[in-house]
Amino acid sequence: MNPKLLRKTEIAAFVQSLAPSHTIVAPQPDEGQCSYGVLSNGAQPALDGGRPRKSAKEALYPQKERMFAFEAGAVEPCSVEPEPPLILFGVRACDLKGIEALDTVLLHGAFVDAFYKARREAAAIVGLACEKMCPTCFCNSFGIDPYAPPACDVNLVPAGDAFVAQPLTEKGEALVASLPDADAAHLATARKAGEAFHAAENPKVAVDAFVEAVAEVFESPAWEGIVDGCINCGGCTYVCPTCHCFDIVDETIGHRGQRVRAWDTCMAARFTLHTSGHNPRVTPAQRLRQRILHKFQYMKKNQSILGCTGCGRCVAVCPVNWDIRDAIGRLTEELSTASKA
Amino acid sequence: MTMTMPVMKIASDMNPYAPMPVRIAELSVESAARDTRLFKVEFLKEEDRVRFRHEPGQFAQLSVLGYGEAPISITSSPTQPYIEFCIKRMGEVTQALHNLGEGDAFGIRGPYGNTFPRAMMEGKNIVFVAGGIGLAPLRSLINFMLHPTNRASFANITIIYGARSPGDLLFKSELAEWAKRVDVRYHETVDAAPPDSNYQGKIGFVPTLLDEVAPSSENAVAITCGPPIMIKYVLPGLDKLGFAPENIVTTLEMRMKCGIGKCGRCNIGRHYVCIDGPVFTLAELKNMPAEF
Repeated sequence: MNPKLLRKTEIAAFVQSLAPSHTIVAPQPDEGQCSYGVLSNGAQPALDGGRPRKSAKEALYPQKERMFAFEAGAVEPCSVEPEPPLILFGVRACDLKGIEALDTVLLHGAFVDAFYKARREAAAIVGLACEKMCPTCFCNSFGIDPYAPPACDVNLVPAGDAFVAQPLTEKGEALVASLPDADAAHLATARKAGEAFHAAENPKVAVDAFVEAVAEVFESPAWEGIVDGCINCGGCTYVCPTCHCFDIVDETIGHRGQRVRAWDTCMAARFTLHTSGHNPRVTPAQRLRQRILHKFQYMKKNQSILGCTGCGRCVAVCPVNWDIRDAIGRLTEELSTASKA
Repeated sequence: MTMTMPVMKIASDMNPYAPMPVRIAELSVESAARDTRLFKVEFLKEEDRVRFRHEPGQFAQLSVLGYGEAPISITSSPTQPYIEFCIKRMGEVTQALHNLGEGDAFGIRGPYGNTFPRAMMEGKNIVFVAGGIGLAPLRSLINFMLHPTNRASFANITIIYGARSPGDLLFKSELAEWAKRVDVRYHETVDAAPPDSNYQGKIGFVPTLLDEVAPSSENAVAITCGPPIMIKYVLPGLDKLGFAPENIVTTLEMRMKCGIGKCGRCNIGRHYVCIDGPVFTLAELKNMPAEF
């Protein structure tokens, strides 16, 4: 599939051309940083704003979503009119990997999440390669390559005054069909961007060693040791590209109401609280263990994928500077020592 | 910045979170304290009735719109032509269910979860050990086994059942029938009986009764469900009788939302009680973290 050229001056017009028939989600300026959001008419995506504050998952799996409406004790029948399909435009590689992880949970197994499936299958995803890593990023530790990204239809690679738009699927090819072919000069610039990214010396976290160290671990004093100042606020789970746990609640006004699902967090004590008062996870260490093992042991065994993409947002958002990279290092050391002892 | 996405609508028959409407055909109070009721329900839509096929051990998400959902085991046997739930009033949803009367509607999703491993029970002696409302999930299997078409597939059937007081013994007319049957060894106990009750039976805890009855573990499977404190003493009792962990079967509860393995809440280690359970053998539980 031929690489195409998207000039920076023409991004707004190109996105506009897709807009009438699609809902477009792209990074936009947000208090000095950027966030993914639904692009309003004529707005310019902020493709140079670094890592968006939250992951792209909420475009496919919104933070709060109506499952159905009800009135006077009965589910309201709904007429299903297809929504305009989504285009996720300018998605970072860590978030693409996150979508791949969500797919394994929500699209597979004995039951399929019909809401996620409807959005996901209709969506086209345009990736955006990073020129450099942020101080909190560690996607390199997971072998994620923004220049050969997972789960996207087109990948945008920076090339000076333009992006080289590389279609990776037929859907992607159709999406960028109206763009001119990329010229040799821009292709060379894009190649250099990739080479510069790969040549940069970025610190890595030893993920493989950690995955091996926690493969069979549950009981260990090491968990208490990594709680540090964690206040169980759950902020990390809301910015995470792979966290998918949810709550289902009813909202009512009089006889009318709706059942909604809303993101939930395993950091909260009530997450597992039984009606009887019994709670299998009462301590912060137990809840932190759940979060870490879900990502590095349970998903690995159940879905053959890790529930962490090294996006580093949990590090950036944490109010007490809890750092998963640090926890991984310390746990690997303690658990490996313990198993040898 | 919060992203507001267009509302996605999914037709009810494709929506895994939409409950099927049922109507309460018959309601009976099961406990003297009036906190446990048996709901016999029928589907409002014929296609739902046809689609809903359960096996003993499975559960459903019961739904009162405006209040929420609660996972409840299906206490009726698939050999019965209706669906029953035995529900103790515990929280918001079960309270809302208790506020309903005969003829009222609520919703159910399911059936969910795995089933009692019937294949490994065939030809074996079966020992049921239940405490309190723990009898509800076992009752589905008991009545399945006692049904004329299935009875011959199982050898001796022993039922050991206890409750806190005579008034807390559930399914009383059925207990009396089991006690009368020559092909069932039925044993009953209560923790204590008030002086003014005309209770004539045994007084004592379920684990003690298990020790007294001492069912043989020879070619036998034990199926147990009850409050955690009962299970804590029943398991060593079964072990003493020689039941191997793979021949002890139990069914678990866990806080649940979706019931379909997505919401990430009811896991014990990597296993989800909603799809990998709720039925586990003791051998399986021993390989799982003690986080339940």
